[in-house]
Order: sequence, then structure tokens, then C-alpha cells
Amino acid sequence: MMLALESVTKRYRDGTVAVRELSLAAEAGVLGLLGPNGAGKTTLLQMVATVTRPTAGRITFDGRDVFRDPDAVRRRLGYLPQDFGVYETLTAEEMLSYFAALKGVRSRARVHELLERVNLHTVARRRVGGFSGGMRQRLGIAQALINDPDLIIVDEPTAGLDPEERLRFRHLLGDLGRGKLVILSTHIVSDIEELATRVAILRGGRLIAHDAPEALLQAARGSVWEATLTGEEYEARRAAGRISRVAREAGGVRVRVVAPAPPTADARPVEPSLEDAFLHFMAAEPAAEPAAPAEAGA
Amino acid sequence: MSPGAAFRFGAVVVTDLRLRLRQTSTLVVFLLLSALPYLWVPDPATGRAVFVVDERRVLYDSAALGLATGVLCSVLLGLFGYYLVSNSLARDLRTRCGWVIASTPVGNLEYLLAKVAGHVAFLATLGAGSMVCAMAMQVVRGEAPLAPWPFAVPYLLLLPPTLVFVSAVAVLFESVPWLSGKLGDVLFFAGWMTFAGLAAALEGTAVPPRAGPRPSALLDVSGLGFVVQQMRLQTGSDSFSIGATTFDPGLEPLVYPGLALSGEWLLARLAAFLPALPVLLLAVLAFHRFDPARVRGVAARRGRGWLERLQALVRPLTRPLLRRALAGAGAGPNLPGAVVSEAALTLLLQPLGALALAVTAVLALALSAPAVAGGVLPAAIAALGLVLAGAAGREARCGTTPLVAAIPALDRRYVGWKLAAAMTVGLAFTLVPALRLLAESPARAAAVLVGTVFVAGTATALGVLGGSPKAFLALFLTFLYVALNDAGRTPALDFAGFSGTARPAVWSAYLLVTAAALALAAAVHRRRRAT
Repeated sequence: MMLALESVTKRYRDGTVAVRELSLAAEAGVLGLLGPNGAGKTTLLQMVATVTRPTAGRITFDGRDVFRDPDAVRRRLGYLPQDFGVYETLTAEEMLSYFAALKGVRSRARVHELLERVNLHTVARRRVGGFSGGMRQRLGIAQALINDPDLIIVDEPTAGLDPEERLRFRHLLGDLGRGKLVILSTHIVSDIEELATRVAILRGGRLIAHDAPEALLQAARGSVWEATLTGEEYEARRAAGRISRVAREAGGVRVRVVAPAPPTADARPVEPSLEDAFLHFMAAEPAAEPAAPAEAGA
Repeated sequence: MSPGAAFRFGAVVVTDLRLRLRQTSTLVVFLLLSALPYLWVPDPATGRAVFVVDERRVLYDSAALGLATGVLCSVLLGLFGYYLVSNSLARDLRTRCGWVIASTPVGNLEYLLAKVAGHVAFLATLGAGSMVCAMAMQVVRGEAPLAPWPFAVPYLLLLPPTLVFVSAVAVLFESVPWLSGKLGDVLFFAGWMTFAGLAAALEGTAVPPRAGPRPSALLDVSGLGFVVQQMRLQTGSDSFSIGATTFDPGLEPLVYPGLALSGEWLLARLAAFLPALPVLLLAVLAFHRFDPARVRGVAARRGRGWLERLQALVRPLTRPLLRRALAGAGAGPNLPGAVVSEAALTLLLQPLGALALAVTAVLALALSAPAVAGGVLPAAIAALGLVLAGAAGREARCGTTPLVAAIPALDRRYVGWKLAAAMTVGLAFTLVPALRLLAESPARAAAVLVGTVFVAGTATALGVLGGSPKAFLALFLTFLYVALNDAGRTPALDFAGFSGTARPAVWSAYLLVTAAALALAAAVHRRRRAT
């Protein structure tokens, strides 16, 4: 299973370039797509999901051009868009059956199986208008999985969820990663820390890093420091950015800083986390042009 | 169509139907649509009848009443129908389900065809319900036993091409984003009224009438031309009317034999399905398939559309006046201040409406009382309806309901707040014309105020119930059209003192309807808040 993007660019009619010359190859596993808001993650996923066409470049899935033969990939695709809405007056079962039908799945047993898998089977006959955000997202992931897809695209699936729901979602996605390609977009690094087999970092529509998490951590090694700062030092440092963690203590402010040099003489190097590595890459690679104005619409 | 495609097609149709039948606004529209035959078919004892040929009224049997109500249903369901079904693709865009749909193997033609079929199924359900209510009316007001088949035949011949055409137009307008808003709503109204009457006009002027369909049958989507041709042939007269009119009570009632059916006529009605095909083809060509690049591109261009340009031209004139009012009357959250703010916001968002308000006020002061009643007042009421159509549902559409719910003064008084703001805007539109008419006839001025309450109240109720302005726009434009064309012949239709024929009993009826609609809206709103 291989997804390949070759020099993919997406330029909107108003001149905004959401994705620029992006090339990437991904195999089975969980590909975490990281980037700040407006980095072009949603647009990239929409192109892979055949919702919008690239202005230039080519996307292939198992060697087949996604836009010359979109149905070939659509049959093997599950897509959960960002801020997935629901038809409020349908029940969970009706809504899932609708998407099942659109994807050519006729089995009612499959609908019930998925509802059980996302723990919505007890409320299958309830109208989804009364569902919480987490329940709606679970219904969203159920519709994405209903056709047993090989390529699963989930865009910011944990945004707005409480910690318990986020954890549940992570476990669900972790289970899916075996033998399939899951592309998970987020700007919350902890969402993919335990899940991703590969991580791609986007900024300003460009791919600035794409590697295994260990390799990204290795690249950031030696650039992450812990130090205790005075209030003034902290304020000065905060203005410069790249602080990945803060804890207020009696003697000052304990910070974790991503920087090529130690922020204070007594700062000590620490093992980077994925969040540190993300900040490291964001600092290292300046964006050539302004990013897309709005991720949601981009 | 492959079995897989048929399965997908069926799923879209069933889901669309479910979604629509579960809307509260559907129930409201259905009740209103069902009540219309009772208004449309007058009791002959009043000196007026729905079906008159050469001054002779036609006996109220199933064939006659089926034709009279079938014609009404075809014209009105064609008109209402558009507004009821033209928010289907918008819903998929809003919920982003459209992106999921775009990522499935569903083809564009297959999807749009299914949407059309879903619209047709929904409208046919409404049409069937309306027909059953009209049959019940015959039991009450008819002069012969109910015969279901002769009653149903006109519906079966007139409605299907209408529903298919209107559904196809709704899908086309939704596929062309610059037609999917209020501009499309107004264009459809004007277009449908013209198109629906075109074939009838052609038939009415064709000399001499001849058996069998003409090429104009191709354009006769509403079936009015077919009815006119049949009537001319069957009665041998050019003097007939369907719609409440006076008759000579000295003449014996005529028994109408029913529509003459033949293969040729059936073929003519089948031909009336054809105009829907190019419309559907255009829709397929224009369909964005929820591609954000196309929708966003159009949204960006929409900001530069001629309507928005006009609004932008007028906005600097209205903004300074309304800005102070927008800030509310008084510090802190209070209902009067919120009412003023909401009224100002409604006008601020529609500067052309604010301009219309100013123009109608000036004209009402400058012109004679008859000119005010005959021209300025209808214009002011029409502008008021257009301005208020989207106001009560704005929060639901913009996602600001939780923000409003967090304001203590508005939390439990949402419907009251929206109504008071709508009344404020309404009075701004109608107070000057009402005062101008006061000197001539106090009763007429009172009727104007009743009309203002009616428009503001129903706009608020339907906005709260449905969220979309379309249901109100459909009902309001149709009702206004019918009332103005009636020119005072039916006092019950004179809802805002246009002709001055309505009396306190009629005013009370309008106020009762308004109160009932508002009570329903308040109950539904409370239930939504509770869940």
C-alpha cells in the first residue's frame, strides 16, 4: 500500500497558495500530519480524499492516479473531515446507514458492528442532534470506517473533545493503524505522540519535515533545555517563543525551551519530546510566504 | 442504473425525505397548504364560486373541485416547493457531510438525480396530503358525493411535471452559488409566476382551440395551458374562470364532466417533463461537488456580486444612523436595549432594506392617500417581509445561539425578543403609511398595524421553527401575490389594509394565527433548549 504525492500544489482562485510543491510517500501505518493553523493540512487531506483537485502535481494510491481514476481510491477510502456535522433529526443508525449506502455497503450487520465498535450501539435509535461532541466524532469515525477502507483520513478528530474522549479516540485510531494507512492531521502534538509511525510537519503549505518520530526526536536532540528563570527572564524568553513547557515554582519559573543554545548558563539539556521536535523544526525552517489565511476553509 | 447505484440513489432519496418530514416547519407549511383550499373554494351562498363558465357556476362535485384545487396545488406547490427543498446541498455544505459524500464513489449525475427524486417525493407527499384535505373540504362544502378517482385525476396530470421541474430548478440554483441565496429566491418567484402562466397565456390567445396538444405543451410545466385548452374545448367558451369569482345565481349550475383523457393528452403531459432535463443537465455541469476551491471561489466572488455591491454602496449611508442603535439603549443586558440592537442589526445587515424604509416613508408623506394604499403600502409590506425573512433564524444559521442564550435578558425570552425587534422594524416600515391613512380611514390604519403584527409575527415564528428564511419567504411572497391580485374581492385576504375591505373579524383571525404560530415557536424553542 503506497500513497505518493509528487510536487503537489494547491492555489485557490483568490490567489492563496495552501499547499506548495509538496512531495511525500507513505505506506501502511499512522502518518501524523502536524502543523499550525493555516499550514495547509486540511487542504492536503482534501486533495488526497479527492474532494478538491491539486492545481499542479500528482497524487497516486497504489500507483493509480487519484484524479484520473477517483473511484478507485474512493472505494478504499474513509474520510472524517474537520468539524464533522450531523443531520440532527436522523438517528445514529439512520445516519450511519446513509453513509454506508453511499459507500456501497448494504449490510445492516456492518452498521451495527461499527456502532458497537465506537460504543454508540446503546444509543443507535437516538437522534444525533442530542449527541455530545465526542459522540458525534465517534459517529464520524464510524462512517469513515464503514467500508473497511485501506486509506483512512481523519482531520483534527480530537478538537473540542474532553480528555477522556480524546484518549478513547486515540486508542481507536491506534487499533486501525495495523495494515492500513491512517493519515491523522492535528495541531495537538500529544495526539500523535503514541500513535504515529511517521510524522510530517507542514508550515505555510510546505513540507518541512517527514520522518519517523525517532528520527525527528534525534534531530531535535541537543536543542532542548530546562532552566529556571526569573519573572523578567521568563517574560523576555516568552516573547521570543519556543517554550514548550512552563511550571511556576517558588524560586521562579521552570521552563523547557527549544533553542540552539542554552537559554541560561545553568540550563541543562534534556531529552526532546515530539512537541519539542515540532518546535525545533518550526524554528529551523522559516516559511517562504505567508500561510493560508484559514485552515478550516483552506 | 447498476444495482449499486440504485441502492445509493434510494439511500439519498429516503434520507432527504426523512430529514424534511421531521422538520417542524414542514408541519406548519403542510397545515397552511391544507387550509388553502378552504380559502380558495368559496361557499356559493356568498355569491362567489371557484369555477365559473359563462356566468354559470360549476357544481361542486369531485371533478370540478379536483380540478380547481389541483390547479391551485400545482401553482402553489410549484412555488412553495422551491423554497421548501432548495436548502439540501447547502445543508450538506454546512454540516461538511458534503465532503464525505464527495469522497465516496457517488457520481454527480447520480447524486443530483437522487436529490431531485428526494425533492419530488417530499413535495408529492405534501401534494397528496393537500389533496386529501381538499377531499375532506368537498365532504364539508361539496354538492355531490366524493368520488376519489375523478378528484385525483387533475392532481395526477398537473402535479408530477411541476414537481419534477421545480425540484430540478432547486438543485440547479443550489449548484450555482450566486443563485443559491436570496437573489435566487426572488428570481425564482418572478420566474415561476411568469413561466407557470406562459403556456396558459399561449393557449388562451390561440384561435381557434383545437383538440390535442400543441408544441407549447412542452413549456406547460404547471399544466395551466392544458387546463385552459381542455376548458375551451369542453365548454366551447372563452369565458371561464378558476378562482373565486362572482356568478349569476339565476342560472342553473353547470356539471363539469371532468378532464378528457386520451393518449395524446397524456403524451402532452409527459412532454411537460422535458424542460426539467436541460435544467438538470445544467445543474450537473455547474455542480461543485462540495469542492472547497469552487465553493470558496464563488463565496469570494459573491462578495463582489451586484447585489452586494449595491448593499456596499448604501451601507455608508445607513451605518452611521444605525451604529448608535446597535449599541443598545442603556448599559448592561436589558431587554429593551437588546430589542433595539437586534432591530438595528437587522437593518444594518440589509442596507437596501433600510433605504427602502426611508424611500417608502418619504413617498407615504408625499403622495395622496389612495396612492399610499395602492402603491406605497404594498411596497413597504413587501420590503418588510424580505428584510425580516432571515432575522429570527440568524442565530441558528450563524451558530450564535449559545452566545445569545448566555445573555440573561434573552435566555428565556428569545421568541419575545425576536418578535419585539421584528415589530420595531415593522413599525418603522408601516407607521408612516398607517398615519397617512389614519386621516382617511382609522379602520384602514388599524388594518395596516394588524398586517405589521402578522408579518413580523409569522416571520419570527417560521424563522425560529425552521432557521432558514425560505419557508417564510415562500409563504409570504405567495400570500402577498394572491392578496394583491385579489384586489379586495376577498376580504379575508386583505391582511394589511391594501383595499380596506377586511373587518375586525378578519383582523382577529390574523392576530390569532400569528399568536398560534408564535406559541408553537416558543414551545419548540423551549424544547430545543431543554434538550
